[in-house]
Amino acid sequence: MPTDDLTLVQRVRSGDERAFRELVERYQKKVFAVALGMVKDREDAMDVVQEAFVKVHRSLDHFKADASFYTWLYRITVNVCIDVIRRRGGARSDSVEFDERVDHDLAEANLGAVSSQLGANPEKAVLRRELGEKIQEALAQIPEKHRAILVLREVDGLSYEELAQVLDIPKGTVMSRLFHARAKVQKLLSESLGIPLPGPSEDKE
Amino acid sequence: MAVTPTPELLSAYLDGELTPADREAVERALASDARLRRSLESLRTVSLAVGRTVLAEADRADFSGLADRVLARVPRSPTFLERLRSRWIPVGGLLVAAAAAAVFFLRPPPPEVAPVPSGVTVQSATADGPPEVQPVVMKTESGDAIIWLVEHPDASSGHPPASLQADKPGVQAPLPSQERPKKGEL
Repeated sequence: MPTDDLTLVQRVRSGDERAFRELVERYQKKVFAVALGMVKDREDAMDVVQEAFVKVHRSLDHFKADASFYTWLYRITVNVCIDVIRRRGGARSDSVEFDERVDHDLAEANLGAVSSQLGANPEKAVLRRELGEKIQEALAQIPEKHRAILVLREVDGLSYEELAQVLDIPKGTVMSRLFHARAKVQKLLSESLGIPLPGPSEDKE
Repeated sequence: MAVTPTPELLSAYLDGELTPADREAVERALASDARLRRSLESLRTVSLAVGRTVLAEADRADFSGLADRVLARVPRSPTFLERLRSRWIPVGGLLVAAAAAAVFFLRPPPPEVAPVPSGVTVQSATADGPPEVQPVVMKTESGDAIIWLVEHPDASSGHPPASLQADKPGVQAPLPSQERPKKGEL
């Protein structure tokens, strides 16, 4: 049975290097995924992972055991990602701003088209390299705040409460922001996959 | 007739984040609205696709040496022995100093040394200059001698010193006089 995070944190605090290595190995992939989703560059993402764990180690004494280790780790990761993005000075600020009304229209009328295009079995669909690339492109185009919440939710399944903690936003904002993030990715996917936007549904039961 | 839920509610339903009442309302709407079901399926597909795509990218990352690189950038944590040493050396030093002080100040007093008899044996006696007193030796019946010093009538006349004959051990006649400095030579 794997040692829980808090036990490992206690051991790191008492100077156990192996416990820290275990924490790094446990979270490195997910932290990288979040970082890659946000900074969109593999090398930068690896730098973010390293920097995030350095910050974790240095500030472990300030970590309060009433929070979960991984929400704290993700919060640090997101902050490092934001630093990296801002250091670039907007060089890659190619995100697309959406009219919120479009999101709602998409959700009501067009999501089904994307779903059918991806195939009935999502497991098979995500294996398609082309789709992976399209999704990466779509992620790269949405605003930073939407990318962060979407990646955190989809990579590690953080709850709305945890997302609120990591992103330091009200829980009510999480629901709205997450929906808009998904809607934007779907819109970009429909465009890049060449899916015609169907008219209003008439098959209401 | 079921009320169509807002897209936000549909997204939150997918995430299992609705209250029981909202969940029930969404499920009622889904049961009667095929378009809504497709919308939900589309949301689910994209959510899965995003998560799996990003994680698949992470699978290709090389994390070897990552922990080493991180640890190289943070202050090395002292080992258990080092922490023990650093914590107890100052205390140990103080204890040693205190023990040394206690040994010094609380040590038992040195044993009393028996006084050495201060008696001396006179090997010789030499009068410096002509005697101003003259001994009168009186012998007793038992053979002891009583030496009585009387003022010499010619203390300043320059008579040579008189020899004293030791009669008892410890009393010895003076050595033959050496050339004495004459008056006024000093």
